[in-house]
Order: sequence, then structure tokens, then C-alpha cells
Amino acid sequence: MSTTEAPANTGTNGNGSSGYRWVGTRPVRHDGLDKVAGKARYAADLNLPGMLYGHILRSPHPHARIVSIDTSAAEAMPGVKAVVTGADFPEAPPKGATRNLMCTVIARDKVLYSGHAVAAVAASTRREAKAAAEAIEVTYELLPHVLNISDAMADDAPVLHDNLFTRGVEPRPTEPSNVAARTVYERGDVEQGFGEADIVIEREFSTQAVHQGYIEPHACVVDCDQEGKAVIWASSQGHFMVRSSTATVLGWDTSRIKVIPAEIGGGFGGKTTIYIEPVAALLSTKAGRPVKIVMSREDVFRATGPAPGAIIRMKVGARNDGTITTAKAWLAYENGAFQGIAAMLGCMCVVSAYTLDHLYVEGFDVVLNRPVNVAYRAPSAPAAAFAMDSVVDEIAERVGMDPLDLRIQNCPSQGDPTPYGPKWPMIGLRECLEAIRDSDHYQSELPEGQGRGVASGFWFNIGEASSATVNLNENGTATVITGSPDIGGSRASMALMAAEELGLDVHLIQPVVGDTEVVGFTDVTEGSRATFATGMAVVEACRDLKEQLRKRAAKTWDCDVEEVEWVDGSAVHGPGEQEPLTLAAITGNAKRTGGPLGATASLNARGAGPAFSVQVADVSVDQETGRVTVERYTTAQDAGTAIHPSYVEGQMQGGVVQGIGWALNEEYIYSDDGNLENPGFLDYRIPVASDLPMIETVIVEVPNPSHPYGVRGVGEVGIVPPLPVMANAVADATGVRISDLPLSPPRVLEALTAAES
Amino acid sequence: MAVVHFSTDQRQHTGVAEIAIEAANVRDLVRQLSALYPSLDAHLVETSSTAVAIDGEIIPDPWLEELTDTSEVYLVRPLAGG
Repeated sequence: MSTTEAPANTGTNGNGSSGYRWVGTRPVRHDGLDKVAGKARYAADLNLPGMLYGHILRSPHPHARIVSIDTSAAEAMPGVKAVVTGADFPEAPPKGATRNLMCTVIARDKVLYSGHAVAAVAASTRREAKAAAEAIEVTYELLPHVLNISDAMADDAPVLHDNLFTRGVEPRPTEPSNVAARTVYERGDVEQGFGEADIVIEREFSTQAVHQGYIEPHACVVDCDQEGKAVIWASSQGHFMVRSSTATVLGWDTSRIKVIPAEIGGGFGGKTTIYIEPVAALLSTKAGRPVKIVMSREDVFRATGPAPGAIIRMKVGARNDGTITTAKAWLAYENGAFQGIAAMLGCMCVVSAYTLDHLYVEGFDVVLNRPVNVAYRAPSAPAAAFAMDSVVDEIAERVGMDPLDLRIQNCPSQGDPTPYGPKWPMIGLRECLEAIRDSDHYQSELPEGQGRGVASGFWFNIGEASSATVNLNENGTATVITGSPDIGGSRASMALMAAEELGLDVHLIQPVVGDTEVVGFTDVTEGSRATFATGMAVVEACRDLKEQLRKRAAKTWDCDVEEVEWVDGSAVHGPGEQEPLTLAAITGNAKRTGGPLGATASLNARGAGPAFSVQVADVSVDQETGRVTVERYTTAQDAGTAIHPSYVEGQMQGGVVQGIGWALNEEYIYSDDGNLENPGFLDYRIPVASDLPMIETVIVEVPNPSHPYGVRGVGEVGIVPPLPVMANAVADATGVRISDLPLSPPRVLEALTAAES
Repeated sequence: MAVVHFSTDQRQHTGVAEIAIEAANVRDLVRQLSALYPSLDAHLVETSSTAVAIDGEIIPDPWLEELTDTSEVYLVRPLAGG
């Protein structure tokens, strides 16, 4: 056992004002060595005795009725131990979220996108499994398909679901359509607002669906025993979700399933659902042996994700003094093959960074023949911000105001109404705007030939259920067990908060992600919630422990517990008649004073503080090729309190980079027959380190009053502003405003050429 | 009494933009709303809209949250995140 002096707490913004000993410091990550040394165990790394390999057969058609599936040839092939189709799974209900999940895992009567799972094989080798899957004969009745919003919303569009009637329309439609839902938010009188405006700008924008792009493909190993119990090792953002979703798809009781979380190689929202675990479980049950399924990169692109594309029409009115008075927005979001809430979220976000007297926001969730949407950091917010912040930039230009000053003039504060109704709690948007305005980057002179763009972004953040167990070991160390898979540094954050509470060196604390049978229920790591909500559970458990430690000290000293305080990791006798007892001294004597010390806390966290980010970028545009180069980029984000500033900065930078990819390069390219033509990183271009400058970060701290340390989630909002930031910077550099993403070289070149002519 | 504000979608079922209700907690409030507006209840079930915002804070699984005479309540859809 060794202890280390706490690193100098410079405050998360370098101001040294946090007042904490451990919170706000930057210890080496607890999982770092394993990952660097290649010892971290991902789901695909696991091999069990007698293990089989699963292979999933996927539809080559975007929309077709399954007439028949003949598996006889596959079953007779060498090495084949089990074959399953949709008929082996429980019947799905006629509609709703459960049906969507069940029919995403494996198709039933219809396939709804190219890549939709149809059948699966388990065999002794990967090659045998793949060969047998390809020998399954599926007879399809092809149906017409739709791949984009406009086609899907057309009156004569082929309908994906005969029982899908647009919700939110009165009278209720009598004919099914691909428009799953209509959402409306309104305040004031937009026509009056436009009448009061000196400037009205109206534009239409489009964004493309993009994949979350995690490096690790989906993978699992499932071992079902003869008593019907299943153990699942899986890569996911929530192993309790894997347990409940797998149970739902299979019609099993959750008590039959234990899920052991593997290390995760990226998720970004894309691993908040399941695809392969129930298939592997059923294969394992049939074969009586463990089954591993690892998706190929092509399968990941064809059958998982994406974040939706969108079409957004914005009309915004402002006065000559820069006051934005009115906004009217029409949003349509892809949902993929099954209905979701993408447009609803877009409606809630689209004007959230502004205070408006009059607004009318109308959104449409649209199903089409693509894989069903999955969250991607702040779902739906990037496209919405792209539309609004592009128009706001034009307004600033028209009224001759600095674009940041205009945003500061119009930004909401605590107590102002949100676009969706409730009032804002304490938020840090103004502080982020001012941080960028005052940054070295924004104060610097723009190099000749470059363009500068700014934008802001909002995301709700969420709380949800979390559990934590903290055990004090006999040598004075601690083990912190939580149920949150660590996708962004949450283990380090948990250890730091525990260290702060207990007064224990953070290096003496081992944070662990426990499986579904060793820690209490914990919701998915999503919504920027892990450090906020699970951290709250850790703090609660530690405070329980401190009470126990005081009682143990009181027993040791034979005094009243009220005479004992817990100060800097030691029990201190108030009257001063005893020497302080360290935590290690108490745990070392624990058997004599009542036994081992441990505490558990489970809670449903309330009060997740909303997140805002404001960003600025300088770009250059090659006039001959249309290539956009990011020359400098700075992001400011309200973290509430940064528990581990390096991880906060990492989240900020990661979000920015993914947003830049969305803005500049990424898009799915489908052939006319509905097949994805770029299902790999060679043709689906995500930014890599050599494409970008260092992303400069400014952590803003407006503490969230609902968290013991003021934490706000930081994982998502960083992806929101880059879309409008890039568009605004390119417009500044070229004088040409492009309203369709991505700003890929061909599109930029086309726009420049059109402007010249 | 707590004031419940209805969204544009919900007004199709309530006919009013807001209503003041004497309720001790969210469970009690929802029971009263369901009795007052049966079609709103069906709408909420269909949209899985069990979340509420009380005084600005969105609560995804509300039930026993206490309401006061000054509480402002919105019925909202549960959020998802990445």
C-alpha cells in the first residue's frame, strides 16, 4: 500500500478556487494501464471451452415480405450446431416499443431495411457458421422502399407499417402512413412577431444520417446452461438494459440472465440498445454450448445506429437592434424502420439557446427503410442547432452585430421559459458565450483567407436510477462498485468523489463496474448521467460510511458518537482527549467493533442540470477542390463542476471531433436498390487525428445545485455546435452559405461554382 | 393549487391551456387529470408520456413528488440520451 500526495488542485479552470482536495485533480485513470498494455478485456476477447461462433444472415433487400425460410441445407452442413429464425422467438406484440425492439433483433413477417437480421447459425468455426448462414434459403416478396424523408412523407409513398397512424393529428387519421407522430410547441403569436420584426430570414436545411462510429463492433458471448440460466458477456452502455431487453425479446424472466459488462470500446449512444444478445442466447440454448457473436464492421454500418438525418425549415424574425423576436420551425427527422422520438427532441432543442416571445415549432417523426435510429450523444440537437444557428448568424451579419454579442443579447437565464414550457433552472449558457468571447482564440486576429464561425448548443442531460456499493477493506483501502459501464471516464470520477468524501487518497480507491448480480439496478450510461447520477449514489454511500466510521471510533474510544467528527480521512475526538484514528486504523480493527464496513446507495437521481456549449472555429477553404480545413477550434462548456478535468476536456474534444465529421464528411450512400454502398471506414470518412488541430477547451463551471459537487453531465452537448460552427465558418471564408450537410469537397465546390456563375 | 400547463398536443384533449388542481403529489394529480380528461389519459399512455416537469425540473419517473400551491407542472415525454 502506498499513498500519494494529492496533485495540486489548480481548479478545473486553472483558477485554484475549487476548495476540494481531490475533486478537480487529474490522477492517472484507473483503467489506463490495462488499456495501454492490451490487457483490458473486451467481449470479443473472451473464449470459453466448447464455444461456438454465431453468424447472422441479413436481408439484401430494404423492404420485402418474408415468404419462407428453408434452413434444412444449413442444418446439414459441417460444424453446424444450431439454427434460428424469427419463428423461434416469441411472437411480437402488434405495435409499440417492445415490438420495435423484438423485430429489430430479428425480422418476423417483413424485412424493413437492407441488413435486417433474418436468421442465424452457430457452428464450430466462424467459417462454418458463415457458410451455413449463406446456405439458408429465404424467399422474399419484394416491396417498394423509401430511403429519404421527402419520399417517405409523400402521399403515395409505400407504407412500412399498416398499423402506423400519425399521432398528434386531429382528427385521427384513418389511413396508415410513414409519419409516426406530429409534435407542436408554441408560444405567443408568431404572425404578430414577424410583423414586429425588421428582418425576417427563412431557409431550408438538410443533414444526413451518420453512424456513431465506435471503434469496437458489437460483441457478446452467451452461455446458457441446462437449467435455463444464461450468462452474457457483452459490450454495452448498460448491462442491466442488456438483461431486461434480452429477457423481453426472448420472453424470459430477468432472473434467468446474468450480464457481465465487458470493457467498452466506444458507444456514444449507439450501445444503448441490443442487437445480438438474444440471438446468441437462443443459439446457445439450442446448441447447449456457449456462443460468441461479433459483428463485422459492415454489419455495424448496415444494421446498427444511425443518428437520423433531418430536413428543417427555419423562419426567424429580429429587430434591427439584434433582438430575436420570433421563430417558426418545421422539422422532419428520419426514425429508421421503427418510430422514435427524434423530431420531438429536435422540436424541444431547436431554439433553446434563445429567448423568444413568439415561437411555433412543428415536428414530424418519419419511418423509412433504414436501420432504426439510436442515440448519438445529444440526439437530434445537432441538426436543430445547425438550422437555427445558421439563421442567427445571418441575422448578426444583416444587423451588423458581432455574432457572439447577438447571442449574448438573446440568451435565456434562470427563470426564463424553455421552448417546451418549463422554466430554465440555473444554466451556464451566458457564461459559455462570454468565455468564448473572451478567449484568446476569439480575441485573436483571423488569419487572411480564413473564415471564423461560432455557434451554441443545448442538451437536457438526464438523471435516472443508479446504485453504488462502497466497501472499506481491512488495510484502509476502498472498493467502489457501480453499475455504470465506463464509457467516458466514470470510474475515475467515482474514485475522486469517494476520495473527497472519505478523505482517502484516490490511489487507494479501486473503482469497479459490477455485474447484474453484484450491484443494484443501474440505468444505461446515457444522457450524460453517469458522473452525475451514479456519482450521487457513490457520495451517498460514502456519507453512510462516514457515519459508520464515526460510530466505530466512538466504540473504540468508549465515548458518545456526537463527540466524533470525520475530518480529512480521520475520526477526530471533539473534546481532544484522544489521538485521531485514521480510516486504516478503524478498518484494521473492524472485526472488534462490529465487523466489515460497507455501504450501498440506490437512488433515482433528480435535478440533472442542463448543458450548454459554445464553440468557435477558423477554417480555410480550398477554392479549387472545395476541401475545408479546420485551422483552429475552441470549445467552452458548462461542466457544473469538473470532477476529473482531463476527462471533461476529453469529452468536450470528442464531441467536437464527431460533430466536425458530421458537418464535413460523413454520410450514408445508398444505391437505388436500397443497399448501403459505403459500409466501412475507408468510404465512410470520420475525422482522424491528422485531420484536425488540437481542440482547445475552456471548462466553464456553473455548479448544478442538485448535485453534492455541482456536477452537470458533459458527455453529449459538445457534438451540437460543430455543425453550425462549420457552416458559419465556411460562409465567412467564402461568402457562400451552404444549407445542406455534409460540407464535403464536391458540395462546397459545387456551391462555390454556382456562386461564381 | 398546482398549475398544470398543457402542450399544444395535449390541448386537443383538454380544451384548455392550463388548469389549477389541488393535489398532494404527482400520482394524485395524474389520477385527477385522467378522470377529468379520459382522452388525455389515453394519449399519455399511448405516448408513454409519464414524465413531468415540476418547477423547471424534468422528472422521468414521477409518482410521489410533492406538489405545492406554487408548483408549475408540465406533462412531457420521457427523454433519451446518448
